[in-house]
Amino acid sequence: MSSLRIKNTDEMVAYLLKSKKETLEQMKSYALREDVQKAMKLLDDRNKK
Amino acid sequence: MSGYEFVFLGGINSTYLFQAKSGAYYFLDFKPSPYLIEKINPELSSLVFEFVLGMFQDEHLKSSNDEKIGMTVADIMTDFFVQNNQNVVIYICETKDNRQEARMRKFDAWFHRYHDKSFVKLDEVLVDTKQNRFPISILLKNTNPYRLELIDAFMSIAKMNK
Repeated sequence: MSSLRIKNTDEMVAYLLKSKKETLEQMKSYALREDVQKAMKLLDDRNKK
Repeated sequence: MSGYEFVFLGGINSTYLFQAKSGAYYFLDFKPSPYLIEKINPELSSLVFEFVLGMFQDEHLKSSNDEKIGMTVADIMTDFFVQNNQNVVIYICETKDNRQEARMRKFDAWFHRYHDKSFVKLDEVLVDTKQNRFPISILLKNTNPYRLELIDAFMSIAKMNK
């Protein structure tokens, strides 16, 4: 973890943008998870009522 | 008028989920990011989280200007801070299409319209050595006992190229 210590603005920007991109990519796989699919169905059913 | 119902999915990124009336799903992650202030203030670094909002919808659905989306984001933000009111959340806008300023204006509007006055939001523009500008916001509770130390840690990093 220490090697990732942010030292200046350039590193902070690079880290934040890379991390954000990775998280958004990761989110695409959330919908494949069974627990997430159940939650999505639950919300969808309730919103259709 | 209230926000949409949301679900806390948990996990490492404390993920939340809600669905807008358009049918689109929104995931909100609070990703632990101790690295950001670890060099300046290692004792408080575990309180730092990045906020990421992702929207997923079928291609045939139209995106809409839905007031309840901002309201729900504010509700979720409040819920996240209930878990630990010493947390600090940092938000940076995507820059790939050069619309980061517009995204930040929307985030600002949501904050000013829906927050319950118990938050402090600090806006800063990170300027890298190539003079690119990246607006960021830092959000924390005004009762956070470490708010001065946390803000100071961020400002120290943010100004290192200036």
